Amino acid sequence: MIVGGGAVGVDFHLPRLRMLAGCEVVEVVEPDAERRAALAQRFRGRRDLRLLAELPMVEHWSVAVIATPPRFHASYAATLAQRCDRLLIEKPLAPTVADAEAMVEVLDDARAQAFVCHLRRALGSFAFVRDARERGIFGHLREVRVAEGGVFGWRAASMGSFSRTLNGGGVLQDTGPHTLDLLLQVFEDLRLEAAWMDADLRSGERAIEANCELALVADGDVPVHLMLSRNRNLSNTARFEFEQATVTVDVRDNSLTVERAPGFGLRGVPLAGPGATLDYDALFDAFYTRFVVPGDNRGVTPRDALTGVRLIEAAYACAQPLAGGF
Amino acid sequence: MKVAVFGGSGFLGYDFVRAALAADGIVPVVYSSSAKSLSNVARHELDIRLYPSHEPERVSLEIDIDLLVNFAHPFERRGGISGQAQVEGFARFVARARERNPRLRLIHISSMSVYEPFAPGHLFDEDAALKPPRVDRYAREKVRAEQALRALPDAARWQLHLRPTVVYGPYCGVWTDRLFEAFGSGDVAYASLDGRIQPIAGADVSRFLLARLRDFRPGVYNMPGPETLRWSDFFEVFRAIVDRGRLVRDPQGAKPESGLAFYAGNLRELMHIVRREPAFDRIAVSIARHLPAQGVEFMKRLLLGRGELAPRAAAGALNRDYLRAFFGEDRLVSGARIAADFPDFAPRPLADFTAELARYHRYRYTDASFA
Repeated sequence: MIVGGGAVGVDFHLPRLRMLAGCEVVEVVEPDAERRAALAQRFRGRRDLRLLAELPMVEHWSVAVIATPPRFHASYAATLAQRCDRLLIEKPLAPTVADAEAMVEVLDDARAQAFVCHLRRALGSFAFVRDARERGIFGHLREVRVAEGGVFGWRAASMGSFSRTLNGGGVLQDTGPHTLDLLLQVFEDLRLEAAWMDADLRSGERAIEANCELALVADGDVPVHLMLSRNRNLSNTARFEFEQATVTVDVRDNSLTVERAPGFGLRGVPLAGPGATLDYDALFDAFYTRFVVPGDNRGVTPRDALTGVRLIEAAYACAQPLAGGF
Repeated sequence: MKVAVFGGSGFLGYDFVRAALAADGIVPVVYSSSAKSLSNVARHELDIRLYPSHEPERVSLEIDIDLLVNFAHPFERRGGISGQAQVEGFARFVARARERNPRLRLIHISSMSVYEPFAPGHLFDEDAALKPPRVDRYAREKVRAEQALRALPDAARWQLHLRPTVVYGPYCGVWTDRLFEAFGSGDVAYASLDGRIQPIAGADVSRFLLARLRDFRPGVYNMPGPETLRWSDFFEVFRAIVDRGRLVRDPQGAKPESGLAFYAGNLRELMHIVRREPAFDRIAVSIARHLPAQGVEFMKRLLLGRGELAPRAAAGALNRDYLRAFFGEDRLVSGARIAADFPDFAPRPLADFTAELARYHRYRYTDASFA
């Protein structure tokens, strides 16, 4: 069952529930009548799919997916906690720490095994960096710079991604959970020092940022600069400056480069995780195959996601204006 | 003053919205047909409304909106509705809004494309006959939109139509971003860049529009920039900013604009519909996994008309997008009418915007921090 008939639910979860998770029939709950009518038209003749206006109060599902705007995650999670075997919650887990903590409390004791869709946990490249750091292969890690961004092109069906009420924010709330989760695969702890955003979040209710920069400190002594954008073509890399090498990891696929000196190094793909060239579909496949199908939610539980939610809320609370944009 | 801005999330529309927000006493309300393009406008504290572009008649304009600025241009089939039907629907929406509010005025941003096909050395004025070729769907729909709106009762008293020439500036896809990306990827092939144009900055178009909000005057006006340049001069400005790539002449590369482009457009329109089917997505994804990355990009461009090669992916490749005969042809309009009626309006030359374009390039295409 999928709650939310938007692009992520219908275009990405639906085919994997059918083909990878073995679900024979999928129910899609879409409260918006117009959107539901459009889905009915699109999926006409499909017997493996049922469209519903609201969540049935008596049924039980083998897998349930919450793919609504984040504002509604907590209430649906509370409803579904005892009524499915596996519960997938789209990122961000929740728009506020209070909501996220309430969800963790509910889901810790739930019948459902919960997964937060931090798809990039399926990549092996950041685990490689963690291992290299722990073994001291390249010496001390001096600095990290992460830049993730492209011109927004998501097949958004509604204003959800651009509504502070529904989404809780802009690019930080949207891309941030993924990018922070990548860093949390390398570090035990991330502390926020400062944040900058290109929307004045204090002047009204509607403006949301297209750009965000965070100054973080990892594990007490490693400075991390994180940039996120919805309107800039950033390099989509995380650059780890070690004493003896620079490791550059692509944040959207599984490739990395190790450079010991200018022009001397190697480029490759860690053995763990999927191939180097990934589109969003392949990343979804990898997430389902690695976590959902075998029922292994280590690293992707709601409790694991709490650190990211706390960092994001703290960043919105202290954000300063980001100048220089257009 | 409350102003409805259709297409306010696109390049030129957003530029105008930004200028309007910076001006005193103007409250823009942005109408957009797609949530995909809202990243920039959503940064501002303003009212954004989504509307179905294939059913613009469903929009109900508030009675306190006395001015509508239209940047939107439907040019592909949406929701099963052709571009022509969308144009007609938009005209009906405007007609109804005008009936409800007789104070309503319209500024419609058209294009110099209405004069296609151009002629060497000829400055087309606003009274020229509009006869775009059958295969030029973009130009034909621009003409149809103008005609449908001008056919509304008393249009000459409450409508201002503007026909800007080549417009460039931040977030302009065609005449700014694609040039940066082309040179950023390597060398750019051309057959002839001798055609002459009169480029105008988006900021100058916005400045003119802002002035018209307070001093509205109906009419039809060409909007050329202040100088006549060859495409080669125009391209060189962008190449110098990127500081990469060369222009490589390939005189045999130019192919005449043919009916094939028309059919390619129709094929793309069909593919846009087909690709919404989940079965197509599944098949396409499984095929794509067996193709090299460049093959996938090629198929995307062929079938969907998008997915331009990202600069890094295409590093070192020879860009062949600018081989068309189009760039060897003059596209010139007369600016006599706008100069006579608006003597205070003085658009600025490209050189005045070079520093801003360079700053934009750094913003748009590098990891430079602005914190």
